[in-house]
Order: sequence, then structure tokens, then C-alpha cells
Amino acid sequence: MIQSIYDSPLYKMVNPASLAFYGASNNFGSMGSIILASVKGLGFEGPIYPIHPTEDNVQGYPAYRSLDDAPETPDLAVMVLPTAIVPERLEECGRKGVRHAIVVSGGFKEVGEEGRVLEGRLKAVAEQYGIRLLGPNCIGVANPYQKLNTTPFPYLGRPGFIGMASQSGSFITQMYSYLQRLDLGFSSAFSCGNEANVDIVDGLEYLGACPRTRVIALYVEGITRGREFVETARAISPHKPIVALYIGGSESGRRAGHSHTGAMAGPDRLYDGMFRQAGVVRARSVIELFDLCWALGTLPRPKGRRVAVLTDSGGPGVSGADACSRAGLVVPPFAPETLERLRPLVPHTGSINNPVDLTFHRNHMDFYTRIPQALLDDPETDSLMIYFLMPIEMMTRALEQMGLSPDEARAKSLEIIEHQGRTMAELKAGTDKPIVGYTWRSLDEPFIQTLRGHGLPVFPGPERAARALAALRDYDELRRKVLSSGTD
Amino acid sequence: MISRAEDSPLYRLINPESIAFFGASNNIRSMGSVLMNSVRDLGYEGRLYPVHPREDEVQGYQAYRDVAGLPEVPDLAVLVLPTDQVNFVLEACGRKGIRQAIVVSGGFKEVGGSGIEREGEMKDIAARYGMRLLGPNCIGVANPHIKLNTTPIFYEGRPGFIGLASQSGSFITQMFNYVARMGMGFSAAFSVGNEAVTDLVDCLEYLGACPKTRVIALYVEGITRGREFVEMARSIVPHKPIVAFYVGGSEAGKKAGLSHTGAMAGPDRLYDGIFRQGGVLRADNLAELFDFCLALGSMPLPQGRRVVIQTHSGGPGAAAADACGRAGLDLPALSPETIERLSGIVPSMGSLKNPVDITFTKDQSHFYRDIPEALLQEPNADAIMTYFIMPAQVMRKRLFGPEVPDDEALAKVRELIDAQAAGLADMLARYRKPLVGFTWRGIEEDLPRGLLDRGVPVFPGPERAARALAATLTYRAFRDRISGARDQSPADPPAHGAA
Repeated sequence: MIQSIYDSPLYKMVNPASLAFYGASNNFGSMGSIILASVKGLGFEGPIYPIHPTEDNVQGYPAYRSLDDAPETPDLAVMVLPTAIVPERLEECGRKGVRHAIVVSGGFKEVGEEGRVLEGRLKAVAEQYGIRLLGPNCIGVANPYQKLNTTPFPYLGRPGFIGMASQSGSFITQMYSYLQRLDLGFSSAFSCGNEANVDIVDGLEYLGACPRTRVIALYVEGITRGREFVETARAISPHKPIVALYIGGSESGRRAGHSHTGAMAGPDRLYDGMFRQAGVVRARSVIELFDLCWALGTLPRPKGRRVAVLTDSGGPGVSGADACSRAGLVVPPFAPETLERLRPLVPHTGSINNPVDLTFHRNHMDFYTRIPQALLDDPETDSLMIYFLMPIEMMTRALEQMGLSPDEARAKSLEIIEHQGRTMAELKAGTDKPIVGYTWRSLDEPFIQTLRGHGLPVFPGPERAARALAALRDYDELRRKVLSSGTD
Repeated sequence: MISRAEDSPLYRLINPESIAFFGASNNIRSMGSVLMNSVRDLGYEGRLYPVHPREDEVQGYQAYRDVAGLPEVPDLAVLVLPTDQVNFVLEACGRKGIRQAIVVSGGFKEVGGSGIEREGEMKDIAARYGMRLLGPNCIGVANPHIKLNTTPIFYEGRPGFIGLASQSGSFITQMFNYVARMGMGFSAAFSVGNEAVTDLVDCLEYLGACPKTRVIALYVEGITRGREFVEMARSIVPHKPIVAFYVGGSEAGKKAGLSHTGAMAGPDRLYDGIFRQGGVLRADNLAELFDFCLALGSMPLPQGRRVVIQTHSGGPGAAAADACGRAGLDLPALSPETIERLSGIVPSMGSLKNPVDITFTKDQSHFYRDIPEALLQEPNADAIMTYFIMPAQVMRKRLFGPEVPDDEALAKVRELIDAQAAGLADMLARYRKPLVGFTWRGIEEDLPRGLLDRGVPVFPGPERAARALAATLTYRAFRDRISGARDQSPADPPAHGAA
């Protein structure tokens, strides 16, 4: 286990000072051009040297016929070239002294025997020159802190805390918009492709040491170095949570993964065992992978599985309780002193038992301050789950009926929303219990955005919120087990 | 089982031509005012009579001091009154001759003690006057086809094909926005509350006969008339699918339901049995309830469980394959003819196995026309699952250089995306084979929006798409078992199509 990312052989690959780019042109519909446009779009600050057989200028950068003509030896070469010419171009890089390369081109191991031979040549060139090579058949890396994004989609949103190593590049580049909508972002992300030279274990090791990474996400079709994976993960998981989505466990997932990256998958129970031993939390879908990252990266670990549920509607409360139960959480009765505190705050048609159901708001501060505070103080529960519904149109229309102009009503609504958001942030700051929200409204609803902005994860539906809370607890238990069994 | 919605005792309750409204005022924060405001907002076209002890006018409508003074006998009374006034006013409504009532007020059976007695009195009054009563402790009905919504939140979107009967009013009113974003709408929705007179089974009967309802959704905390429920469901399922979300099976769900509506829940296994016997599909959560409605209401039923996945990215294809496997769907190999046909389109880097992975194409019509058309004609495929991602901003950068102004380029891109969606939807309408889409982008984006609005279902993530597709097969099996028939029912959507 490395102590610092500077010790990682991947450091210069994710933090290059300069780039050589093979395969981009001024035809902006080609894959190479699209990727160079992404690099340019995020504003990579180091020099970029496009290599092109005929053009003198590519997308505004002076282009070179060959890397030999470039004015310096770049830290990293990115190749988006026809399969057959990749090995000779890599050789050119090796001769020039380039020690890091990303091969985006496909057509290697994943397409059969001929590709396998070509991939063998690629590996031999890399070894000969001591090149660390990511791919082939990958989409490279994203490091938004360095303004680096070698993937086809433009990076959106802020740099974040999720470090990802993925056996599918799509789950990096095609997730930017998804993560941005949740106010999340990547710290660094690796698309491993065929893992000819750098594999998911190398990516994991880097992310374990990366100070910007608070939680590690893995998308797995098959792990080749099982033992090294477990050892590396065990060294990381006690201080940084790791979440993995493994899709090779079903017969159809295994076959699809094999034709995708040539990965050799194993049955679910084998991977379950490996993940458990390594202290890795397993997610069941891409959506859950990022839900769990969100929770594990932002929330404190609860002391137990007991949840207080707060709603202002019966059905959402009942389905919230049901979701908790099915996620392996408990919705216990409150302590007598908590019931005493709740009694004057909840109308007689509501319920002071768990889930608390206000039915109707007499006073907004009850729902957003006094009641949640009482629930956070309750000694019988370890976490709090709240149902949020506050459509801004309802507020603005009510205010308009009170005589405000549409603009005033909107401004006033946003002010109220911001106030409630701050109130929730204060509650959060004053407790060591995790608080999660759930809603069926759009994530773009102003109130939901505001809550998120104040650091409160609000999930679409109670099942996802409950599963995230349960994962916090799962992680805590896995971590204890890893720590108590010692590291090899 | 009735054959026409008009024969249902609930017909006038959800299709009233006039309403007496009790409990609304000019204090817009009160619950009664909020509900009447919803009625007004959707533009209810019948006659609305607020009854108020002092005001002459309520929210712009002429108000009446009491029900006796109303100029006609309205079809429906809506009561949003303090608990202790409800029975008194209900009795007055009965004397006036009103035969349909919705009691929104709570404080009855669900609070125990004297609440139980009050609810008993209410039932007596209803029986004495032959009144169909919905509630108490409910939020009433929505029937967007006649612009009626008695629930607290404004109706959004179009009238649609989901008929909902719910033991939680929240799952009607708080879902308007959700359902609209999924490209759907309600045909009719009932919040049954404490079910003093009208229960889930009665609503099921109405929805079974309601011609605007293509699929019935139920939110269940506990079913009292189990046997009638099964019989009613069995009479409907041969021509219309029913999906239920039941929360009482878990320990916490059961306890919470008891304090919510006083429902008596049973273990999961018992309800699984009831649902199976009734031919009712069970959804695991609320999102899934509406996912199943989307699949069942907008596309033709698949003939079998063989799915071909179409993607341009390996990971999403593999994740979809895994999701299909876990949902019990099969992934067949393509026939030699289809492989031959697609080999000119899918590059060597891609895959002509299943998932079909085009990896990269500059010509969008390969992905949105040629491949789906080949798969629609593929004899080995009963259904298609397609990964959709075509964000306008990204397309703009790929198709137009920086010299084209942003708004012009974006307008062209939006046009192009809409044309792809329209082309695909038109093609699907010519076949009797379903296609389900999935994406991780917002379903509000241009492409999913264009598809959803044309009746092509797009789900957030392949797991939900696979489960919804599998649910249509379960429905098919239930329907065939109950009806004993193997032929296509005339009620099936013949092809993809919006409401």
C-alpha cells in the first residue's frame, strides 16, 4: 500500500503536465476530435501536442507530423487511432521517452484472436519502454481538479469526492450529468478498458492514496488479480469506504461483460465473499453505486440500525417504514420523553409514533426544527429519515393569492425555502446522527436543490434512502471486521 | 362485474355535474380552501357551491349559509370540516337529497376511542340516505378528463390512462408531478381513506369499467374484503392489467399502516397469494408501481421473454444484460439474417452478439432507425431494450462548429433529436413488438421526453426497464390463466402509443 499518490505509477497519468494527442483532427465528428474537444473544453492548462499526418493545426493547437518533432517529451500520450497502427505509435512514444499512455482505440482482446495478438504486441512495447498504459478499449481518465478529461462527454459540475475505477468508460463519461444533478462530482476516474497493463487494482491503489477522494466507486465486470484486489482493498477500506457494482454474476451479465472487455467473471457468491473479505460494500445497480457513494462520502456512521421516520403524510410514512424494514433497518418506538416532546407539536389527527406523521402543518418550524430536533435527541434511534415535499408552485400561488406579484411571490418562496434549508443545515451540524431525505418530486425542485446545497442528501423514493442508511451501517460493520482481523 | 362505468355506484361521485363544498373560506391557508382552490385551478366546469356560515362569497364563488339554501341538489358534497361537525352536516346533505359525499376530515376510526363511534354514526347516516361516501380521512378524487381534482396539490400534465385506487391520498396528489414527468397521467383516482362505506374493491369495479383507464394501480395497506377483492380482480384482469403496491407485509409497514388508516395488514405471503389468485401484479415500491403502469399502458405485450439489447456503450449494455438476467428475461443470439443485415452498420469494434453494441456511429439513423427496424423484424426477439443518451448540449458540439451561434445550433439539434424520437415512435407503431428504453440522464431531457410523450417508455436505469418488461410477461401469464384464452385481448394497446 502506497503512502502518497506521488508514489503511484499512475500519478503522471492522472496529473500530467503535458499531453501528446494522436487521432484528433479538424473533423469534429470523429471520436479523436470529440475527445480532444473535451480536454480543451474543460480548460486543461498544460501544453497539448496533437500529432497529425497532414494538418498543421488541429482545433487551434499547432500539430506535429510525428512525436519526434514535438518540442518536449510530454507526460502522457492519448491515442484514438485505427487499431493496426497503435503499437507502432506507442513505440514512437517509448523512443521519445513518454512513460504514460492512454489507448482509447478498441479492436484488441475483446474482438477475438487477431485482436489478442495485437494486444500482446502492445503489452510488449509498453514493457520494453517501461510505459504505464491504460486501456486499450477505454476512454481514459478524468481529473477535474487538474481540468483534465480525456473522455467523450464534456465534464459538468464541480470537482468532487468520488474516485472511480471502472471497467466501463461509459460509467465515467456518461455519468457526469447524472452526478451533477446530485451536486456530486469525481475526484479522479479511470476507465480501465482491457487492462493490458494497468488494471482496476492499480486504479484502486491510486484512489486509496488520493487526498481528494473520500469514497471509491468500482464498476466491475471481472477481477483478474483477486488476491491483490483483496489486499489492496483491505488496506484502504478501514479509512476510506469502497463501493462496488459487479455485473458478472448473472449468466447474461457474464456473457455481455466478456464480449465488452473480455473480462472473466465468476458467480455472485464468489464475488460476495471477496468483497466481504475486502471490506467492500456491494451495490446492485449504477444508481445504487452512486447513492451509496453519496451517503458514505457525506454522512456520519450511525451507531445502529434504528431509524426515526418523519413525514407529513400517511402513505409516504408507511412506505418509508416499509422500505426501512426491507433494507434491514428497524423503525422502533420512541422513548417516553421523546413522545412527551412530540405531543404538543403534532395535531390529534396525526401520529407521534414512529413514523411521525404531522398530517397538516400548523407551523412550518415544527416540521423543520422542533420535531426533527426531538427525534435527533431520541435515545432509541440512530438516524433520521425525512419526507420532503414543498413544491415551489404551491407556495408562490398561495403567496400570490395573498396579494404578492408573481415576482415577489417567487422571491419570497425562495427566501422561505432557503430559510428551511439553513434550518436543516443547523440541525445536521448539531448532531452525529445521519439525516437523509426522500421525495418523489424532481431533483431539480428548488427546495430539494436547496437541501442538497446544505449537505442533506435527498433520494428519489424511500427505498433508496433506506438502502443508503443501511449501507452506512454495513460499511461500519465491514470496517470493524477488517480492522479486527488485521491486515496481512 | 359491471360493463359500463355509468353502472357503477361511484359514477356520479367521480363525474359530478355540481358540487357543494363545505369547509373552504377566504383564508387560503386552511385545508378546505386549499382543496377548493385545486378544484378551481384545474377549471372544473360543473357548478360549485361553497357553503359557509358567514361569508357571502368564497374564492370568487357565491357562498350559501347552509345546504338547505342551495339552488339545486348537487351531485356531490365535499366535506373538509372540524371532526365534530361532520356528521351533522352530512345528515343535512342527506336531507337535501345529496347522494354522493367525500369526507376529507380525519379524527375517526384511525384515532381510536370515540373516533370509532363517530365513524359508526357516519355509516348509519350514509345508509339511511343511500349515500355513496368516500372517506373519511381521505383527500377525495381526481378525474382530469372532466377537470376535477379535489386534492390539495394542483393537477399537472395531461389526463392519462392510469386508474388509481389508493389507501393513501398522498400517493394521488403528491404523485401528479411524478406521473407527469414519466409522460403519463391519471384517468381517475380515488383516495379511499378509512373506507367507511366505499372501499378499494368498489373503486376497482369502477376502474375496471372506466373506458379511459388502461391500467389500474392500487396502493394497499390492508384489504378487508379479501374474497370480493379476488373475484373483482379476476373479472377485470382478462381485459385490463392491475398492479398493486402493498406495504403491510413488513413489520414496520404493518405498524405504520395501522396508525395511518387503521388498516389490518397481513404477512407478505398471504397478500402474495391473494394477488396471484386475483391476477394482480405486485410492485415492490411506489416507483415500480408506476413503472409497471407505464409498460403495461403504453406498449404491446411481448410474445415471450427473449430480449435483444441495443446499445452504443459496452458498460451500459453489460449492465442491461445483467438486469435482464436478474429479472428472468432471456438474451437470445441474433439470427444469421439479422447479423448479415447489421454487419454493414455495426463496425468490427462493436458487437453483433446480444447486446448489439454499435460503439460509435456518425450517422444517428443507424441507431434510431436501422438497428431497431432489424430487431423489430428479428424472429428471435420478443422485445427490444435500448440505451438512450443524446444530450442536446453534447450533440451541439459534435454537429456544429463554434462558428454556428449557440441558439441556432441548439434549435437545430433539438429538431434533430425530436425527429429521431418521432421516427422511432412511428416505426414502433407499425409493429406489435415492445421496446423499452433506459437512461441515466434526466427523463426531462429532449430525447426521453420526445419518446415518453409519444408512448415509448424510457426508464431510469436498466434494472427498472427490465423489471417493467418482465411484469408485462407476468401479466400476460395471469391473464391467460384467468381467461383461459390464448388470443390477444382487444383491450391490449395494439402498438406503442401515448394516452
